[in-house]
Amino acid sequence: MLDVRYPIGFLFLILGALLAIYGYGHPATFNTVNGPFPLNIDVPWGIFMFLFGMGTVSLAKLDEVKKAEQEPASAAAAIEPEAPSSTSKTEPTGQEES
Amino acid sequence: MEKAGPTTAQLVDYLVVVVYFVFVLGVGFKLKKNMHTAEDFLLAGHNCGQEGKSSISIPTWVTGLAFLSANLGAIEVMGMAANAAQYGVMTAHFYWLGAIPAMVFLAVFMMPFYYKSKIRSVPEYLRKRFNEPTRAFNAFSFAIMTVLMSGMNLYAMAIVFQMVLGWPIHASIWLAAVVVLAYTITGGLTSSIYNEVMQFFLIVFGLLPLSIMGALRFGSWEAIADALKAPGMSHLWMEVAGGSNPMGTDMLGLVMGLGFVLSFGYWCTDFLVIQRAMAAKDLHGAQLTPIVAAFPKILFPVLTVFPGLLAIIAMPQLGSNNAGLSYNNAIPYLMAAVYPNGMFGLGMTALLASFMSGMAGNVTAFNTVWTYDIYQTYLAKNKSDAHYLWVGRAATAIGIVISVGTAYLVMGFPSIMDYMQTVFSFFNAPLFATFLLGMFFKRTSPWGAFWGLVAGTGAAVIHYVLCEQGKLVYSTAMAGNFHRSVAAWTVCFVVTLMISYLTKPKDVSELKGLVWGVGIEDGDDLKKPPFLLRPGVLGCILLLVTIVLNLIFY
Repeated sequence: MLDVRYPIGFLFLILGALLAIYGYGHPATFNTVNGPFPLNIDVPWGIFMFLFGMGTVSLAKLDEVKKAEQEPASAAAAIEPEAPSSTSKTEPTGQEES
Repeated sequence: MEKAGPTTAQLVDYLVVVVYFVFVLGVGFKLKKNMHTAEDFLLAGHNCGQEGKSSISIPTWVTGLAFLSANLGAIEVMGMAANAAQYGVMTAHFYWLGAIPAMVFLAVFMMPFYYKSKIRSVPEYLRKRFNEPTRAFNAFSFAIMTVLMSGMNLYAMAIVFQMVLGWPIHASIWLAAVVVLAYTITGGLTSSIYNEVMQFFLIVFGLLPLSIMGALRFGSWEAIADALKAPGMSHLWMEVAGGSNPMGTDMLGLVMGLGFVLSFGYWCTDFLVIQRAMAAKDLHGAQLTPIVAAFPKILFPVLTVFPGLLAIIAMPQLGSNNAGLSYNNAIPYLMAAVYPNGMFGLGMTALLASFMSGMAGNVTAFNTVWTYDIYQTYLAKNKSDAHYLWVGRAATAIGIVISVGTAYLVMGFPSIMDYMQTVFSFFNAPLFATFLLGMFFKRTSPWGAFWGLVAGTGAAVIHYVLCEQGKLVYSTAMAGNFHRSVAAWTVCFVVTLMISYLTKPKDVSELKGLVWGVGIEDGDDLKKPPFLLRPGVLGCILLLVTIVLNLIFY
């Protein structure tokens, strides 16, 4: 099953990079209470979105690694208790033979 | 904050939209391989208690954000901003008086019934609790309501793209319809939920800079309140008692109409949102879904109400009768006024995402109710699962086509919010009385519920006709909606009670798990979650924060 954090993360990585790069090449100002502010909102917001995307993908990746680490352990734990019953299953019964 | 002139779309803005479309469609196609059964497609694998049947397991944070985002359509974004431009801060009552208490009530008191009764839809609960006619009435009225609401999102999107990007209105409607169709018909409810989460973040990232830039521009809340001039525009409660507030409503209409009937009616009975919570992996997840959604919801006025206030300050000529500068367009106008290219594309994409999530939410609720509550019940019983999966997909396509038709209906209303509250006052207001009595009063009889629902809906229709004819006059359309919902709820409540005492109720043994105090605890083998993760505890925290916000903006 798809981890939704991957599409979210990659979407914001791409959009963030797009905005930051475009904004860097197109300087602008906007007026604040203290007068004009020489910053194009594209740049900080693009960087913020890019970092958010990185964080989201990293979290998804971290969970994937954790799951992969747990899987051998849980598989081993699942096999252990079943060992006696699987042995007993090897004993032939009339039904199996038929 | 203002620039030399409004921003017009450039290549970078279109690129943002294209990237978003690629991801939305990609999620739908990626999830297609998980859609094996009708339940996978229509219910996101919530298989009504049949453990281990589905491969789909959606985390609570995902269902929570989808719960919030399904409601985050045109209503929430453009409608709330339009309302704020027209009525001021009082619009925040939709959140701090209505939504949050209703979401807490749903999580703590109603979700256990929905989840544990193993129903697939809200109308199905009505069949189990009452009878087939009550389910049929609700299923048909809900199906009508969802396509009406879905069309509203399409219309909202079309006017934005026509106004800001210059796209033809018909082309915008069909483009959005085709994209939503593509990802809902492939990945079903799961795809809709996943996209809603993605859209949630996109909406936040696309709208938040408006508020940040507004805060930087004015420096303080006091400066904004001064710029709004009328004190009622910057206060929640100050002018409510006298009725001379911008919303034109009195205490009864506001508290009973909005705070109780409309809000609880929507959040506690609308299958569109309940469906998201029911897709959770267990009961605790289902209960936490509205709670997870309520925490960001408290802060949503920052994204919707605040930009609406900024818009009316920046463009005082906005008005409901001003075709060129309608209240509905407050947010897109503000974006064009303050965002540079790039950010402008992101803002437009956020609006697009909001409309698409609102539309997909309605369409996925429609296809479930159509397939299970109408088609399977009345038209084709005992067919194979593959057959119902096909019908679910066909219903998705038909729902979208009907939505395109209803998009044109919306054009006759002064504002999106007025349209929406009119629709809700017809359908959700009486239904909440039915649910309240059904879940918490075991004497409520099946025929009492049915006739109460019919009478309540009829009362709403009569009230609407009287308003249209000028025999009932309210100072604003919103005040009329609040009073209509109170009338519909009261008539439904009283008629249900009266007929319940005249007709035979269901035997208590048939009500197990459906009515408060009748066996809901039985079979509850879930261990209690940690204290701070209990829905009741988190609900109290939410209510406390809501009270504080009401006091701050009194």
